Amino acid sequence: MDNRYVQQFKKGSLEMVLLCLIAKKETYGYEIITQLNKNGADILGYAKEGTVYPILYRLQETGIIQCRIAPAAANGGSKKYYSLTAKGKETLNELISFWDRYTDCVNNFIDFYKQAEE
Amino acid sequence: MKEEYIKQVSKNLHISMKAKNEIIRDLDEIFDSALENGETEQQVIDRLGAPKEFAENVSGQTEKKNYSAGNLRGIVLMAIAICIAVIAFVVYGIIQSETVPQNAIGQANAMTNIQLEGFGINIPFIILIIGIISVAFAVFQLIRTFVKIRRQS
Repeated sequence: MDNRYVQQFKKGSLEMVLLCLIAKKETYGYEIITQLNKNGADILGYAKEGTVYPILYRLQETGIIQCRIAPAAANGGSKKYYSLTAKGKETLNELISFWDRYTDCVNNFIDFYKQAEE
Repeated sequence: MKEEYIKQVSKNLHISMKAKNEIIRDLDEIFDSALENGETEQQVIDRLGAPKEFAENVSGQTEKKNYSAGNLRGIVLMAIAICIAVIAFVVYGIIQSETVPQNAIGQANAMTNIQLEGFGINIPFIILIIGIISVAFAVFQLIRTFVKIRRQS
Protein backbone atom coordinates (compact mmCIF):
# COMPACT_ATOMS: atom_id res chain seq x y z
CA MET A 1 0.00 0.00 0.00
CA ASP A 2 2.58 2.51 -0.98
CA ASN A 3 1.42 3.64 -4.36
CA ARG A 4 1.20 7.19 -5.65
CA TYR A 5 -2.37 7.82 -4.42
CA VAL A 6 -1.53 6.81 -0.88
CA GLN A 7 1.56 9.00 -0.98
CA GLN A 8 -0.57 11.95 -2.02
CA PHE A 9 -3.03 11.38 0.83
CA LYS A 10 -0.22 11.29 3.36
CA LYS A 11 1.46 14.35 1.95
CA GLY A 12 -1.78 16.32 2.01
CA SER A 13 -2.72 15.46 5.57
CA LEU A 14 0.67 15.67 7.27
CA GLU A 15 0.51 19.44 7.62
CA MET A 16 -2.84 19.23 9.35
CA VAL A 17 -1.61 16.46 11.63
CA LEU A 18 1.41 18.58 12.56
CA LEU A 19 -0.83 21.57 13.29
CA CYS A 20 -3.04 19.40 15.53
CA LEU A 21 0.00 18.20 17.49
CA ILE A 22 1.34 21.73 17.91
CA ALA A 23 -2.11 23.12 18.76
CA LYS A 24 -2.63 20.52 21.49
CA LYS A 25 0.51 21.53 23.35
CA GLU A 26 3.64 23.59 22.77
CA THR A 27 6.13 21.07 21.49
CA TYR A 28 9.59 20.62 19.92
CA GLY A 29 11.01 18.75 16.94
CA TYR A 30 11.92 15.43 18.49
CA GLU A 31 8.67 15.23 20.44
CA ILE A 32 6.70 15.84 17.24
CA ILE A 33 8.56 13.02 15.47
CA THR A 34 8.06 10.67 18.45
CA GLN A 35 4.35 11.49 18.66
CA LEU A 36 3.91 10.92 14.93
CA ASN A 37 5.66 7.57 15.09
CA LYS A 38 3.84 6.44 18.22
CA ASN A 39 0.37 7.24 16.93
CA GLY A 40 0.59 7.02 13.19
CA ALA A 41 3.67 5.20 11.93
CA ASP A 42 1.68 2.24 10.59
CA ILE A 43 -0.66 4.48 8.58
CA LEU A 44 1.31 7.67 7.91
CA GLY A 45 4.67 5.98 7.52
CA TYR A 46 7.76 6.46 9.61
CA ALA A 47 8.24 10.18 10.32
CA LYS A 48 11.66 11.70 9.66
CA GLU A 49 13.19 15.08 10.37
CA GLY A 50 13.84 15.49 6.65
CA THR A 51 10.08 15.44 6.06
CA VAL A 52 8.86 17.30 9.12
CA TYR A 53 11.32 20.21 9.30
CA PRO A 54 10.66 21.56 5.80
CA ILE A 55 6.96 21.75 6.72
CA LEU A 56 7.76 23.46 10.02
CA TYR A 57 9.87 26.05 8.18
CA ARG A 58 7.10 26.69 5.70
CA LEU A 59 4.44 27.00 8.40
CA GLN A 60 6.64 29.43 10.28
CA GLU A 61 7.39 31.44 7.16
CA THR A 62 3.69 31.86 6.46
CA GLY A 63 2.93 32.89 10.05
CA ILE A 64 0.90 29.80 10.96
CA ILE A 65 3.23 28.71 13.74
CA GLN A 66 5.73 30.55 15.92
CA CYS A 67 8.62 29.35 18.00
CA ARG A 68 10.61 30.26 21.07
CA ILE A 69 14.03 28.92 21.96
CA ALA A 70 14.52 27.67 25.50
CA PRO A 71 17.63 26.13 27.04
CA ALA A 72 17.46 22.33 27.22
CA ALA A 73 17.58 20.87 30.70
CA ALA A 74 20.02 18.04 30.10
CA ASN A 75 22.88 19.60 28.14
CA GLY A 76 24.17 23.00 27.09
CA GLY A 77 21.99 23.02 24.01
CA SER A 78 18.59 24.53 23.38
CA LYS A 79 15.20 23.45 22.18
CA LYS A 80 12.87 25.24 19.83
CA TYR A 81 9.29 25.11 21.06
CA TYR A 82 6.56 25.53 18.47
CA SER A 83 3.09 26.91 19.05
CA LEU A 84 0.23 28.09 16.86
CA THR A 85 -0.25 31.77 16.11
CA ALA A 86 -3.74 33.31 16.13
CA LYS A 87 -3.72 33.00 12.34
CA GLY A 88 -2.63 29.38 12.75
CA LYS A 89 -5.56 28.54 15.03
CA GLU A 90 -7.93 30.08 12.52
CA THR A 91 -6.29 28.15 9.66
CA LEU A 92 -6.44 24.86 11.56
CA ASN A 93 -10.13 25.32 12.35
CA GLU A 94 -10.83 26.05 8.70
CA LEU A 95 -8.82 23.00 7.66
CA ILE A 96 -10.62 20.73 10.11
CA SER A 97 -14.02 21.97 9.01
CA PHE A 98 -13.05 21.39 5.39
CA TRP A 99 -11.63 17.97 6.20
CA ASP A 100 -14.94 16.96 7.82
CA ARG A 101 -16.93 18.00 4.78
CA TYR A 102 -14.34 16.47 2.48
CA THR A 103 -14.35 13.05 4.16
CA ASP A 104 -18.18 13.09 4.34
CA CYS A 105 -18.31 13.77 0.63
CA VAL A 106 -15.78 11.09 -0.28
CA ASN A 107 -17.43 8.61 2.10
CA ASN A 108 -20.74 9.24 0.38
CA PHE A 109 -19.27 8.18 -2.94
CA ILE A 110 -17.76 5.13 -1.31
CA ASP A 111 -21.19 4.26 0.16
CA PHE A 112 -22.84 4.61 -3.27
CA TYR A 113 -20.30 2.21 -4.64
CA LYS A 114 -20.71 -0.26 -1.79
CA GLN A 115 -24.52 -0.23 -2.10
CA ALA A 116 -24.29 -0.89 -5.79
CA GLU A 117 -22.00 -3.82 -5.12
CA GLU A 118 -24.41 -5.46 -2.69
CA MET B 1 30.32 12.33 12.92
CA LYS B 2 27.62 14.83 13.90
CA GLU B 3 29.94 17.78 13.28
CA GLU B 4 30.96 16.41 9.89
CA TYR B 5 27.31 15.86 8.92
CA ILE B 6 26.31 19.40 9.92
CA LYS B 7 29.32 20.78 8.05
CA GLN B 8 28.29 18.92 4.90
CA VAL B 9 24.70 20.17 5.16
CA SER B 10 25.93 23.73 5.71
CA LYS B 11 28.11 23.49 2.60
CA ASN B 12 25.07 22.57 0.51
CA LEU B 13 22.83 25.34 1.82
CA HIS B 14 22.78 28.22 -0.63
CA ILE B 15 20.64 30.58 1.41
CA SER B 16 21.08 33.65 3.59
CA MET B 17 23.42 33.44 6.57
CA LYS B 18 20.50 33.92 8.94
CA ALA B 19 18.46 31.03 7.51
CA LYS B 20 21.58 28.86 7.41
CA ASN B 21 22.38 29.46 11.08
CA GLU B 22 18.77 28.61 11.92
CA ILE B 23 19.01 25.24 10.17
CA ILE B 24 22.37 24.45 11.77
CA ARG B 25 20.90 25.24 15.20
CA ASP B 26 17.96 22.94 14.47
CA LEU B 27 20.28 20.13 13.36
CA ASP B 28 22.19 20.51 16.61
CA GLU B 29 18.93 20.12 18.49
CA ILE B 30 17.90 17.11 16.36
CA PHE B 31 21.12 15.30 17.29
CA ASP B 32 21.01 16.30 20.96
CA SER B 33 17.37 15.26 21.41
CA ALA B 34 17.94 11.92 19.71
CA LEU B 35 21.03 11.19 21.82
CA GLU B 36 19.10 12.09 24.97
CA ASN B 37 16.59 9.45 23.98
CA GLY B 38 19.18 6.77 23.56
CA GLU B 39 19.76 6.94 19.82
CA THR B 40 23.25 6.92 18.35
CA GLU B 41 24.62 9.58 16.00
CA GLN B 42 24.71 6.97 13.24
CA GLN B 43 20.99 6.23 13.71
CA VAL B 44 20.17 9.93 13.39
CA ILE B 45 22.32 10.28 10.27
CA ASP B 46 20.65 7.23 8.71
CA ARG B 47 17.25 8.80 9.31
CA LEU B 48 18.24 12.26 8.07
CA GLY B 49 19.62 10.88 4.83
CA ALA B 50 22.42 12.29 2.68
CA PRO B 51 23.54 15.80 3.78
CA LYS B 52 22.97 17.20 0.30
CA GLU B 53 19.46 15.80 0.15
CA PHE B 54 18.60 17.15 3.61
CA ALA B 55 19.97 20.57 2.65
CA GLU B 56 17.86 20.62 -0.51
CA ASN B 57 14.74 19.56 1.38
CA VAL B 58 14.96 22.31 3.96
CA SER B 59 16.34 25.13 1.82
CA GLY B 60 13.42 24.94 -0.58
CA GLN B 61 11.24 26.26 2.24
CA THR B 62 13.20 29.35 3.19
CA GLU B 63 13.28 32.88 1.84
CA LYS B 64 15.69 32.00 -0.98
CA LYS B 65 13.35 33.19 -3.73
CA ASN B 66 12.55 36.48 -2.03
CA TYR B 67 16.24 37.12 -1.69
CA SER B 68 17.00 36.88 -5.37
CA ALA B 69 14.01 39.13 -6.07
CA GLY B 70 15.54 41.55 -3.54
CA ASN B 71 18.84 41.44 -5.41
CA LEU B 72 17.15 42.26 -8.68
CA ARG B 73 15.33 45.20 -7.12
CA GLY B 74 18.61 46.51 -5.69
CA ILE B 75 20.28 46.34 -9.10
CA VAL B 76 17.34 48.10 -10.81
CA LEU B 77 17.38 50.88 -8.17
CA MET B 78 21.12 51.23 -8.64
CA ALA B 79 20.74 51.52 -12.44
CA ILE B 80 18.04 54.19 -12.04
CA ALA B 81 20.24 56.13 -9.61
CA ILE B 82 23.18 56.01 -12.03
CA CYS B 83 20.96 57.27 -14.88
CA ILE B 84 19.69 60.16 -12.77
CA ALA B 85 23.26 60.99 -11.72
CA VAL B 86 24.53 60.99 -15.32
CA ILE B 87 21.62 63.18 -16.50
CA ALA B 88 22.11 65.55 -13.55
CA PHE B 89 25.84 65.94 -14.20
CA VAL B 90 25.37 66.43 -17.94
CA VAL B 91 22.68 69.08 -17.36
CA TYR B 92 24.87 70.70 -14.72
CA GLY B 93 27.81 70.74 -17.13
CA ILE B 94 25.70 72.31 -19.90
CA ILE B 95 24.34 75.00 -17.60
CA GLN B 96 27.77 75.79 -16.19
CA SER B 97 29.42 76.37 -19.56
CA GLU B 98 27.57 79.47 -20.67
CA THR B 99 28.22 79.31 -24.39
CA VAL B 100 27.25 75.67 -24.81
CA PRO B 101 23.45 75.91 -24.83
CA GLN B 102 23.42 77.97 -28.01
CA ASN B 103 26.04 75.95 -29.87
CA ALA B 104 25.71 72.39 -28.58
CA ILE B 105 21.93 72.18 -28.55
CA GLY B 106 21.02 73.20 -32.04
CA GLN B 107 17.31 73.57 -31.41
CA ALA B 108 17.64 75.55 -28.19
CA ASN B 109 15.84 78.86 -28.54
CA ALA B 110 16.37 82.11 -26.78
CA MET B 111 13.61 81.47 -24.25
CA THR B 112 15.41 78.51 -22.76
CA ASN B 113 18.56 80.55 -22.50
CA ILE B 114 16.90 83.42 -20.69
CA GLN B 115 15.09 81.12 -18.27
CA LEU B 116 18.30 79.33 -17.38
CA GLU B 117 20.07 82.57 -16.75
CA GLY B 118 17.20 83.89 -14.68
CA PHE B 119 17.45 80.98 -12.24
CA GLY B 120 21.14 80.59 -12.79
CA ILE B 121 22.13 80.73 -9.16
CA ASN B 122 19.82 78.02 -7.81
CA ILE B 123 19.11 75.44 -10.51
CA PRO B 124 22.69 74.29 -11.26
CA PHE B 125 23.33 73.92 -7.57
CA ILE B 126 20.16 71.84 -7.06
CA ILE B 127 20.97 69.68 -10.08
CA LEU B 128 24.49 69.13 -8.76
CA ILE B 129 23.06 68.08 -5.37
CA ILE B 130 20.63 65.67 -7.09
CA GLY B 131 23.58 64.19 -8.98
CA ILE B 132 25.67 63.74 -5.84
CA ILE B 133 22.78 62.18 -3.94
CA SER B 134 22.12 59.77 -6.82
CA VAL B 135 25.77 58.71 -6.90
CA ALA B 136 25.74 58.19 -3.14
CA PHE B 137 22.55 56.13 -3.42
CA ALA B 138 24.00 54.05 -6.26
CA VAL B 139 27.13 53.29 -4.22
CA PHE B 140 24.97 52.39 -1.21
CA GLN B 141 22.89 50.03 -3.35
CA LEU B 142 26.02 48.49 -4.84
CA ILE B 143 27.43 47.72 -1.39
CA ARG B 144 24.10 46.38 -0.13
CA THR B 145 23.60 44.08 -3.11
CA PHE B 146 27.19 42.90 -2.89
CA VAL B 147 26.88 42.05 0.81
CA LYS B 148 23.58 40.24 0.19
CA ILE B 149 24.97 38.12 -2.63
CA ARG B 150 28.01 37.23 -0.55
CA ARG B 151 25.83 36.16 2.34
CA GLN B 152 23.79 33.90 0.12
CA SER B 153 26.69 31.98 -1.36
